[in-house]
Amino acid sequence: MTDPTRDEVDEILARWDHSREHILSILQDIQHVSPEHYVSRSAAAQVAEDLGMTVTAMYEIVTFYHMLHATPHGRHSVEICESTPCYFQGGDALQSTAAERLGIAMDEVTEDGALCVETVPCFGRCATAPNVRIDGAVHHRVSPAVLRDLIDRLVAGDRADQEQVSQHV
Amino acid sequence: MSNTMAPNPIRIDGEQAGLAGAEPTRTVGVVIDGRAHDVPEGLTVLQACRALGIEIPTLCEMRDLAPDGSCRMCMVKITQRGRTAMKISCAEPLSEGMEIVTMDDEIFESRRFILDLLCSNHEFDCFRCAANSDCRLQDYSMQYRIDRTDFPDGRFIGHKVDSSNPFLTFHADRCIMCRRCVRACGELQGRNVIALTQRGFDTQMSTSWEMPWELTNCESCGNCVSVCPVGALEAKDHQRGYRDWQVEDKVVTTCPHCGVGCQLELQVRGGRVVGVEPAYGPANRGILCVKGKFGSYKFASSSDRLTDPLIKENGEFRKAGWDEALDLIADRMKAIIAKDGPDAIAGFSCSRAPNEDNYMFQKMMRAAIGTNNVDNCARVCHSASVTGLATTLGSGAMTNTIRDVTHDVDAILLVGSNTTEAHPVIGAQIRAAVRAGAKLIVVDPRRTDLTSMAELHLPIRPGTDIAFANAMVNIIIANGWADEAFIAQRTEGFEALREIVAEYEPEKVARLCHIPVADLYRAAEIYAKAERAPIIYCLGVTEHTSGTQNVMSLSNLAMVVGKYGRPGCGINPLRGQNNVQGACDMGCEPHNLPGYQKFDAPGVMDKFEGVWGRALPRGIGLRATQVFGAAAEGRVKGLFIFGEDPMVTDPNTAHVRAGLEALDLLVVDELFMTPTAELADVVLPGSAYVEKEGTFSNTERRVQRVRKAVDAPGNARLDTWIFAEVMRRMGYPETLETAADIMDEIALVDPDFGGISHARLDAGESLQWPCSTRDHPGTPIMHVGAFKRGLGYFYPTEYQEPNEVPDEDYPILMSTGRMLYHYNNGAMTHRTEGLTRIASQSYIQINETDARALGIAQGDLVKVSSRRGAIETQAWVGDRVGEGEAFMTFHFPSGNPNVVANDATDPLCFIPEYKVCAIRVEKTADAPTPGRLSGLHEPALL
Amino acid sequence: MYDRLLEHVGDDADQKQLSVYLSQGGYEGLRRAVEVGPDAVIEEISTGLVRGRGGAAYPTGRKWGQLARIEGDPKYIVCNADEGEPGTFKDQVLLEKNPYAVIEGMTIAGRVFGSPKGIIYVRGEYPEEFGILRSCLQQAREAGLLGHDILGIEGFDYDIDTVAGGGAYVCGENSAMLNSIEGKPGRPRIKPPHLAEVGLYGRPTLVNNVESYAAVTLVVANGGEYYRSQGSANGGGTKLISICGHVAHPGVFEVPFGRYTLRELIWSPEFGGGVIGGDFGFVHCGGHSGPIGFENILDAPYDYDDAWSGGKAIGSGAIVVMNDTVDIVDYLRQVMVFFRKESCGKCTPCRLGTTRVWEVLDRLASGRGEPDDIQRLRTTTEQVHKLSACGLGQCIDVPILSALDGAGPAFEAALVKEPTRV
Repeated sequence: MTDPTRDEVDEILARWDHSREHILSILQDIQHVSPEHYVSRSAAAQVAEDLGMTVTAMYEIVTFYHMLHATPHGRHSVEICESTPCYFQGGDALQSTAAERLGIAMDEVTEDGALCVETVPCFGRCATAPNVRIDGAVHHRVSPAVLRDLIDRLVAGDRADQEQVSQHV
Repeated sequence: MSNTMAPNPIRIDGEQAGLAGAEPTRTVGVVIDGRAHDVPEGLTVLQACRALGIEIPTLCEMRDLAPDGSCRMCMVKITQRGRTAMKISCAEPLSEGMEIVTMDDEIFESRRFILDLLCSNHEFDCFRCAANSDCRLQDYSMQYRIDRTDFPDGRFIGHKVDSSNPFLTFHADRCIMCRRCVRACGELQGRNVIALTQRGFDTQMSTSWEMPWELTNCESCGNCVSVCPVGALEAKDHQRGYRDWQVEDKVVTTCPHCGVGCQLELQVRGGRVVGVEPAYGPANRGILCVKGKFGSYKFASSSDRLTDPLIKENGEFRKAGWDEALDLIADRMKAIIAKDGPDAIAGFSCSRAPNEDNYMFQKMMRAAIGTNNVDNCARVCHSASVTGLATTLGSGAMTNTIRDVTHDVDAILLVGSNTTEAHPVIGAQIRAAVRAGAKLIVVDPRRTDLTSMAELHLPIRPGTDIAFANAMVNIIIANGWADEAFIAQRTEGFEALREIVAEYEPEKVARLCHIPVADLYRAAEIYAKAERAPIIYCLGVTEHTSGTQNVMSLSNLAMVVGKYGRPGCGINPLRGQNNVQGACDMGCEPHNLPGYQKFDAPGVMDKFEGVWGRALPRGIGLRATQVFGAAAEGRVKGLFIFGEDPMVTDPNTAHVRAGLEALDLLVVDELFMTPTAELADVVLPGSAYVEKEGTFSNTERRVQRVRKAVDAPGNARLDTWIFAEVMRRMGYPETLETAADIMDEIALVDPDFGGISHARLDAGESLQWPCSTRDHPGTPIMHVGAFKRGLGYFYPTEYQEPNEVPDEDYPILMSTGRMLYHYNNGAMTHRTEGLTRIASQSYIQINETDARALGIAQGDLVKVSSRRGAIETQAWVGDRVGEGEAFMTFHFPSGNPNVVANDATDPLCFIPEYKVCAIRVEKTADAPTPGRLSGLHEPALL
Repeated sequence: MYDRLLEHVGDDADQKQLSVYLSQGGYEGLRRAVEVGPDAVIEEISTGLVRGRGGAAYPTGRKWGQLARIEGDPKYIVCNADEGEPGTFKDQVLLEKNPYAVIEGMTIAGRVFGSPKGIIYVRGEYPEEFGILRSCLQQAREAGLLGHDILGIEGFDYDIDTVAGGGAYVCGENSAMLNSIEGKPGRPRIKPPHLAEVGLYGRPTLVNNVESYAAVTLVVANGGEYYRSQGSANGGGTKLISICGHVAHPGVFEVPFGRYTLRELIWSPEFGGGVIGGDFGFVHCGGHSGPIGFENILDAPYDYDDAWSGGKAIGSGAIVVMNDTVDIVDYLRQVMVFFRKESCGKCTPCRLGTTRVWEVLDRLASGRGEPDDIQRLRTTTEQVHKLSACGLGQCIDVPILSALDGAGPAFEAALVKEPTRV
């Protein structure tokens, strides 16, 4: 588990003008630079101090908003839309496909921390149902086969990355 | 956390500042449950119903806070402009012509539905739950006929229990999500420990990042426990010790710790106080601090309470009967008087004891013994305020009220006060004031909890208060911010001060105080320009050899901008002990009779001699700080100490010991065998605040009732009885018995208390002296229209250096003070286990730069020495203190800084210079746990 | 100036260029607003019979009129781009294809109310749209159409910032959205006081939907009378609708109020192009908090005064078509999955009630229904509707009761079917 550095957090705060209005963008950017896509308490504490807020308030925000996470959330994310237009056009099958392939339930992270697969509510691409977001990129009209393939590539890519990382350490 | 951004536009609290009479309120005509009513405008439907005695159930509603609107229990039917709808009554403003139905079948069903839902997500642990029989869910479920939930076997919130805090336990599976704890912690206490996490069904009160409670910054005030309507938050003592139906008596009394004067409701069972709930008093408004909630009763039933008189024979104590002990005291005193005169006897009264006790004590000293050598511990804390403000204003007390100076103010100038630790409930109200937009200026050499939310922190060098205040006045005059009209009409002595402060150029003073000059200007501007800005100060100002002048320089500052005699202003010393104000009011001072009346003022002596039936001594007596020296020199031979522990609390312990050991007779009236009592010839077992009737005067001059809840243990007796017995044996026929009778005599002799009686207080009146007659409503704000002495006096204050400043041998400047979890000598607080779990060992705060130079790391054991002595303690290294400065508390026997502190005193009021002495710090051993403090729970420290 | 929101659109990339927008007649509306003054602008909007496009359909002219009469300084202009109703993606398309119409409408509002600042709250799931707006706003600034002395008029100082959401449907509720902008969790506020009096940072605030501001631009540029004539007696102008589900041509369309029936919208080759994968089952209109209609209502006009839904069918503009392979009970369960996860958790009836309703539907859908579950479903839903603090809980009864009333047999059938899973 690696946190963003203090400098990285400072840079993000400056990018958003140290403004409380942009707290959600600040926290999402912190997640982006955090390999496991979450907001740690120490990163939140740094933000809280800068913005004149409390760590408690940070935790309330992180746990309230669906796109923010307070605990490690996997190096990669597979988000399957579960709202009715997608769900009833194949979305339900995608959920079982992912669960089967990875051996975890929805909203869980794989044991090696590689992937989190979760269901998400409608993100406005209903015309191309069923939709899946992989690391933020939208994939349209996804079939179970396509999803399985996407997950395979994700897992393989992560494995390669992890090997590189462990060689450098 | 409250989610309503703006405060509810409806004013919930109709309190006035107490100046003008209240304006008549307009009314609106409404129909409630079929009956027409005229109700004051500006109320919510809920408030109106409550005022009319119509009950409406609530779960999330909290007094003094904006409506939350989350529980939905208070739903009623409202018909307005032809349309009927179900609405929550807590947030619905009344309007003309409204028709309200508070109960019918539909409303009943809806409320029942809500309870049904809550029951479906609640663990029924009633058998083990502290709230069993004191639970809103139980009460309402019975009223709305819930036998079992209609949603069994559904999703459940989960069984999380956190009992890591010493005082309380949190059960997530009992929580009904009323959010009162979050709001108490966030909006009332301002500590923000409890988070309202997640959303939807998974919404849960928790700590940030699910930390164990004991690792949070929780200060254990217990307000969350007090507001929880069910048993989700329980006090451990409550859970283990009693249930509501077992409580035999609930007694409302006043807290025995600090000068805030919070109202407590003692829970009595089996002859002991087993718990405390907050009562709603004007000063505390329903909240308490850790000492009030959890540390105010265990000590009273501690097994090491003194239960019998003790007489020392051959260096050992033996038990004795009351007659033997009292006769011995009287005989020995008579012997001393016969040989050396009555002024060879002195007395220290107890500033934690009620007014009535104090009155009887000084009466004993004056009428029965015949000396004015009586004093109390105000000598060492706020005597500078008493003397200083009496000189400049005519009265030495806080000018405004607690609520007034923390509510609806634009700025607060806080000088030498670590309020969230020394007066926690006022500190919480200051946090709320800052949240509401008040600009807080903190003048304190240390970085304290409040400095983190301050607009400005001025860490002036200890001892430079007068220079600071004079420079502020200089800036105010130079910029035309002075209140010319006020100065002209209501003060005298301004020209002399103007000449003096001209020398105090901001640049020069900023260098002396080592603060940025820009901050000095800014502070002056904020304070001067604010419409409502009080000066609130404490012992950081008074405990200096220039303490009296320090106080007067602040009084000058407020006077220059005309901030007296109106709401949200004034000069406000925070009195330390629960009744140190009272001890002074009752005349336990060598230069004052009760009510600060002077021996040589016209008519005063006649009055007292008339009422007491005795010729009385007229010379000013010895101050307490002078007594030890006088004893060592043989001028004082007998000393009666009532409820004080100078061996622990007075500076220069060696000097104190020398004095006490030189006495022929030392009598100590105490609750416990303290270090001072160890040295006594006779020890008398007195009674604690839970065992007597009486009154305390809090720092805002409010006289509040102390009520008996339990009997004193063993043969311990009421202190008023003890003094009366001594008086009788000394030949003075004292007849006063009950506290109410004593107060009646006080009213007779003290014009300020002229209208105060137990009868009025018990009838529900809340009185702040001056209260001269039976009809007088009391005086919230003083010096309205005119000062007590007529014109306000600008005292020509000049900076002077402290008595002892750092030098080559002793290079560090040390201050002493308090911390949140203990009170002074710790006699009461060390006897509460939870408090000692948090803090049980002494420490010295030193600056990290100094520490590095001295090779000292966090937690290392160190020797602290001065010209007066040396102690061992541990080092708390950081940035709480500036370079070359240090700070210690005096709560811990293992390392009491009073051994090294300087007993040099102020020439006007004889207060010792606790806040400045010169020390040397040397490392003696490594920290037992590297990098950590011992005996201190670090997350809980402020 | 064109008279429709999406008609003039050519290449998407071009529409993000200010120069292209200007060449199409863009900012005529703002110029006219400056010319005629605030009162006349509000008059025009009222004449145009503009209805709020976020779902509540509150008359926009009335809302602007109310704010104009309120004293307070500063006033804020906020655009609700937190499009969260499942099946709704018309704002997403509008922001991609005609972002400047929205910006211009907000600038007109800024002028009318003398506001110094506008904010567009874009849901966190729309990062591309967030970026598009930022780029467009910057171009507007550089062209003197935002910032100081707009259009060269001294004292006309107004700027617009974008604020991103973080994944919370409830932030589409206006007061919750303002809390979110203020840096807090997005839970709704108690009303009264209303946002026009106590809004962002306690100041008077205007909150309108993305499409509403774009509509304002058209109204002010082309005149209220003209705008009203494009629509019906209940709503002026055109509505963007998003048709999806089991239809041949899912997508966003722009339709005048009252011109078409639901049947035409679903089957016409111009619009939905017909039901696929089976016969028509039901249609869920206006978003998840909107009514579900069956065969019998298809000939209702798409308008605010339709007989079958009391005007709720329009809502956000979503039209979700399900064929007859979808069991209505399954569908409602999935609707409740959405609501129970999106409930903010503040008020008891919604926090717990949405989960309890879901549990009943889950039992029914998986063949484990209890005999009194249908009654339980109805009463629980009604109580949650009656007691909830905001629109989320208050509206769950709309889809559920419309389904119970229109497809009762399906629920009876659920009671007797075999259990499908534990």
